[in-house]
Amino acid sequence: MLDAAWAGLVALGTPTAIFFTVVGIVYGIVIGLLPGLGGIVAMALLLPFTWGMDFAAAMSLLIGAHIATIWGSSATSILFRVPGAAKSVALIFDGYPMTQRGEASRALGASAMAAVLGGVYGAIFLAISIPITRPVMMALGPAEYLMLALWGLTIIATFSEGSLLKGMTAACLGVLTAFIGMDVVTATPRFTFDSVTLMDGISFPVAMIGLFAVSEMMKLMIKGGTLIERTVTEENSSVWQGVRDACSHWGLVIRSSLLGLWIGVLPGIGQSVGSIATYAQALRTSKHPETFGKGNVEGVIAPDASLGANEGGGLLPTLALGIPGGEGMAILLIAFIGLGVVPGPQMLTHNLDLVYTLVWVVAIASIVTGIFAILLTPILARVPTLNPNVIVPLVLAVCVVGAYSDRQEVSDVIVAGVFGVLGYIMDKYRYSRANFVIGMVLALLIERNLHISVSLYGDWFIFQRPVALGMLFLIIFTTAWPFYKNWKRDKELKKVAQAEHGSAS
Amino acid sequence: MSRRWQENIVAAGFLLLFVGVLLETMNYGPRASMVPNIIAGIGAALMLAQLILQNVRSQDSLQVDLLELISARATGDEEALPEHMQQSLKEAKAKKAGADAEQPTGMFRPGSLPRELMAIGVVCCAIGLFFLIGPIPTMFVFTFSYLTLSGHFGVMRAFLVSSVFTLFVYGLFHAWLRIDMDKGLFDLGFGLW
Repeated sequence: MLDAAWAGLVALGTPTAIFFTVVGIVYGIVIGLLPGLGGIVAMALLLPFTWGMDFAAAMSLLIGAHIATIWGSSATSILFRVPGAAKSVALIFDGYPMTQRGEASRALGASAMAAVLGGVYGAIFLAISIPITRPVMMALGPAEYLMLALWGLTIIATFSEGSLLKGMTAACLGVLTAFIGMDVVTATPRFTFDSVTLMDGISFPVAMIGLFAVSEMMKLMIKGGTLIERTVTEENSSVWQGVRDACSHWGLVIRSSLLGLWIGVLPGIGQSVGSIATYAQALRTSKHPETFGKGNVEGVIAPDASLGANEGGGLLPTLALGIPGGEGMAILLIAFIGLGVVPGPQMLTHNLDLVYTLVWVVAIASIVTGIFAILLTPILARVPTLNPNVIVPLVLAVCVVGAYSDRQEVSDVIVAGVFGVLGYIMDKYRYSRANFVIGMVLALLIERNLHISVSLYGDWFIFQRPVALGMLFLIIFTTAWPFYKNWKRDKELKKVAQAEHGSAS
Repeated sequence: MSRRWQENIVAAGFLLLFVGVLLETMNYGPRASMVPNIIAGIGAALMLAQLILQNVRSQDSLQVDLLELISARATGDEEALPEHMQQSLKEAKAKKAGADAEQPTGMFRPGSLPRELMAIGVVCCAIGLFFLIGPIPTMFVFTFSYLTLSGHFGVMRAFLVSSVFTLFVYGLFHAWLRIDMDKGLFDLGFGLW
């Protein structure tokens, strides 16, 4: 175990890995500062660059960028009251009031330091959890993995933003998209329509570039105008003041990190929930709840610590089960596939050094992001005032070349364009794109394990595997729970309405 | 066209897609068609339900929002916030959904159908250029044209930005990552050495 941890750290000590950590973080901060371009877009654009890289360098680049976008989007919430991503929404409550009274630097410093501490706690949690998780994973067979994949699919579809039916439909579309191409089990070409190009299937990175990057550029073109507008206020605080604030509120940081970790571990429950829940927790436990919403630094520290820790929590189901803990983790899974690394139990047995590399990447990237955040804040705060007319052509051109460079197939450029339009339609009509990706990632896992289970245990394999049967009941329960909650709530509301109507008459 | 009609067209499109998948899988063997059949069947049922519900119920009752579901209804976190913060949260969510965007009038107003078609046209132009002249010349021509036509930069500044950007991408993808660039229909000789 210690050997693997040491090997993981050594892999990150190469000049290439260090270089890509820095590149990823600077790039991630810039992308995070641009509203609408969150961690997924950042990672989708980076995917083509990771081909041929060694694992440590590729992960440094991707995870570094993803962690940095979290702080970048927090910064726009604090500075402009515009969350760079939904997960940073809780930071507008106290971050922006602090900016209004000239304490933006303090708020940004507190935010950066809280995220660093949260990230380090997340990495420690991940490192501690691996030895515990490994024997559990070893006891599971294909039937249980099938149930785990189904559980990931239904949880993510159930807890998606927007319409429940649309969320599940998006997941179904993603699953079917993954089936395009040659079926490896039966050697049947599926949904190829005699096209040689489609025999290889739809490339994950190309689909990601289209769904997220191209569609976001389309949105910018359609929306027009500047990304955000702000009025400059006179600054009267320092970054170090904020850093001290985060360190002095260590209890709040630990509580918030633990909550963020737990939310990260549960697949499908996004970071936006984590930050709101953490903010509410900070409000309930604060000695000065009356100052919340008026610029209390605790209201900045709590959500950022939670967001920082969420990354480590999200990596656990991704690595141990092969089920993405969130949409960013789904892209990371695609990167694993591109690098020839298979996540899941094999990763915890055969590639433990790679797992520890990821643990170190989370910790190091959190710390380096914090340092960069403190140094770059005054300069990068101006980035969101960039006009989309500059961003759109540059990003779109990179998307086109990036889509081509994945397999050096010209047809992939068309695929990226088609997925761009599909992504725009899905976003406009609230069919979750994240669910689509997760469906796409889990599809082959579901099909492969289903076939293996049927071959090993017969058609009624579920009744021969008690753990799998228990998991099936859990799937049914977690899927039905929101419906039950809604039904119960509606019933209670009707009762109240009837009582009021009765007393009025 | 009303929002409900647009939603109906999109849902009907997805429903047709699922039905198409079900028909297509009839040509495959039982093992190859098993999972796609189940998924397409579920998808078709979901879309059918969506189509019915969105036409007989108000649109609000269809939305099961993540924040409401988890934070407010399950744990009460959102409700625990003071009223002014709940208001801020609502505003932020509305802003995210683009519901509070003050849109100017005119054919090419932000969010209008002509503007959407224009955006699709721009993407098609980038892809078309790629086919005709290959990736590297596309980088330059596309960025230069966009920057100039959008009126954000003057010709000289657009030329400079496009040139530097093209060189950067060429160096990154071709010189460093060793990716063979496509010739394009009209072989201009870029990226093939």
